[in-house]
Amino acid sequence: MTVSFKDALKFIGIIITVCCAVFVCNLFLNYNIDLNAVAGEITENQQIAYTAMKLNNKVVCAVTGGCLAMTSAVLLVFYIGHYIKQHSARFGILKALGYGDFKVAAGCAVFGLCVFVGAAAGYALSWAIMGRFYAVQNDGDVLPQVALHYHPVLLLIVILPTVFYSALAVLIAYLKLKAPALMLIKGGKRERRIKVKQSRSDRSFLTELAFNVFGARKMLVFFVGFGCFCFGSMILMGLSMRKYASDMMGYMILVIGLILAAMSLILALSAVVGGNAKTIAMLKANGYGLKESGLAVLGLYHIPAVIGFAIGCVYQWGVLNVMINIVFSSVEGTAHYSFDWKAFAICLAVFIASYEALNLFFVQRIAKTPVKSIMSE
Amino acid sequence: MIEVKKVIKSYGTADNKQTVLKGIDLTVEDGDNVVILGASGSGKSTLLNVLSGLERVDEGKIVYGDREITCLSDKELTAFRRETVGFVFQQYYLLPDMTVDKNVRMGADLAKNKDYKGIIESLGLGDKLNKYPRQLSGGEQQRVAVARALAKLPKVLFMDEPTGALDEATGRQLLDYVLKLQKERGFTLITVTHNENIAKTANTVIRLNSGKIVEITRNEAPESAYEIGW
Repeated sequence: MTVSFKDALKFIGIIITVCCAVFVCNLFLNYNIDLNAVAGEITENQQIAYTAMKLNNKVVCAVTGGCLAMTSAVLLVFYIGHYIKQHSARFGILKALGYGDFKVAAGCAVFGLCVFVGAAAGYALSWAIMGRFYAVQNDGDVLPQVALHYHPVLLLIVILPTVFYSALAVLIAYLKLKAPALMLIKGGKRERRIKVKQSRSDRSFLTELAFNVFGARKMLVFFVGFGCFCFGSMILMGLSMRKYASDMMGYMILVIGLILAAMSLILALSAVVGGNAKTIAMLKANGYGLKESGLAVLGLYHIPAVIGFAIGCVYQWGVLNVMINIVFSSVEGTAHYSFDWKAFAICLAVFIASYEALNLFFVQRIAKTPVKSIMSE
Repeated sequence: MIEVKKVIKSYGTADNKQTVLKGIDLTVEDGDNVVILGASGSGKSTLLNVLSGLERVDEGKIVYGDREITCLSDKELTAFRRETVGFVFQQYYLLPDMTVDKNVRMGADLAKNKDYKGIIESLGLGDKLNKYPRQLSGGEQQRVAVARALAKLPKVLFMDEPTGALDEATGRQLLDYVLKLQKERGFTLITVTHNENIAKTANTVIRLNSGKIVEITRNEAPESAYEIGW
């Protein structure tokens, strides 16, 4: 085996994302199945609310679960790529010794285990609060009381992702390891096609460096944008949902949003700082100050952060508008949804404070990058 | 003037401590051309690193003029390097995704040196301004590293085995350019090498062995880069 379980555990981001996805899906799918059992008791007056509730369950599963599942797939691709890059010499030696690409890649199936850990945790967690969830859903007389039952078929949402992600991990590793053994031993750097790119002579060194750092890792730009999108959409939705659904639902969305945002941002910004350690050390060796280095390395990431946050806010407005003003419009007693400016102001203030605090934390990490790290090659 | 007083530097933990510099005392006059000679593991690169403020000493003092750098904070030490020091590493350490022009501007911008292109030209890299390090030979990359250090207009230039990875012709050419510029501009030059021949180009030669200075000699008639053996 080329990858240990300990290595797989480092994939904490995927564990948390899968945990959230399974947690949400198990809650709503279990409730949805039990909701089918009361179909015969639904009166004509309750029919619209019943249909809307079933639709709501499916939408939450598809949107939240689907988004989280896709996020974890993107994370998996990123992490495995990063892992192989970090350990390329080890993989190169195995290949040079005569191990086939597939045999080496097969070791990466162990990464599917972290998906299992996350899925099992999410499944257990959902059962821990299932009773309370049903109590909240049964609150009021809109629908008949729905009794809680255990549905073994839902264990598939633990098993299937584990199998799927294990296979995906092997496939990604197989594709990444197709490079010649010698190249992997030398650090896995593929000879890049040299772009004839005229550098802007009017730009200062630091400006050019900032654009370079920013443009070099588009995946990280995506993660910063995505993290802030999650923050904007889910925190705002969580705050607004308390009014239209329940406190529990609101807190659930809020916590998932916070976890996803924190995870994506920490992952992306730590990769930016880690990936530019040598550049940072060179800047320090030459006498560039912390403020200049911090701005050059992290400054431009404010752009995707702001864009992600803005899109997230608009997205949550769209989703809630459709859900409440269109899907639930015919359910008696449902309030009309309008954009919650007060929640937005709170969300914006918290976003600015949190992002800048995180930025400051990583600037301090830049300060701690030893100058000697450039000489330890 | 640089004064080094009883400098001690160790690496490792208490139970596995390795003392690399064992009480170094020396004085370097302004505008001097100093070569530090020593075998591998003698502590010459560590001495260069502590002299230039890249690393901190465990004990002792390093004083530049009337400024003691050993008691500076990290921020002050960065400012010191910015104002005073230029560094040429053996392994070049160019930024791979930036052109020659921008790599040299890394140093030039710090000194607000608008005429940095002259340095690039005089190092024979005028036609490589928009090339990336991976498009250059080893010798060309080292010349870019030298241009970057010189573009900072340093008061003291430190070079760690500057010709170690170069062939003879390129090595001589590079050394010749730096020596001429040192005479012209009058900055202090401190070079670390294991090559005895390069020591013949210096005014002062410091021999280091096992973390101690064993000899300091003055060279009354330094030779040029093309006169020495290789």
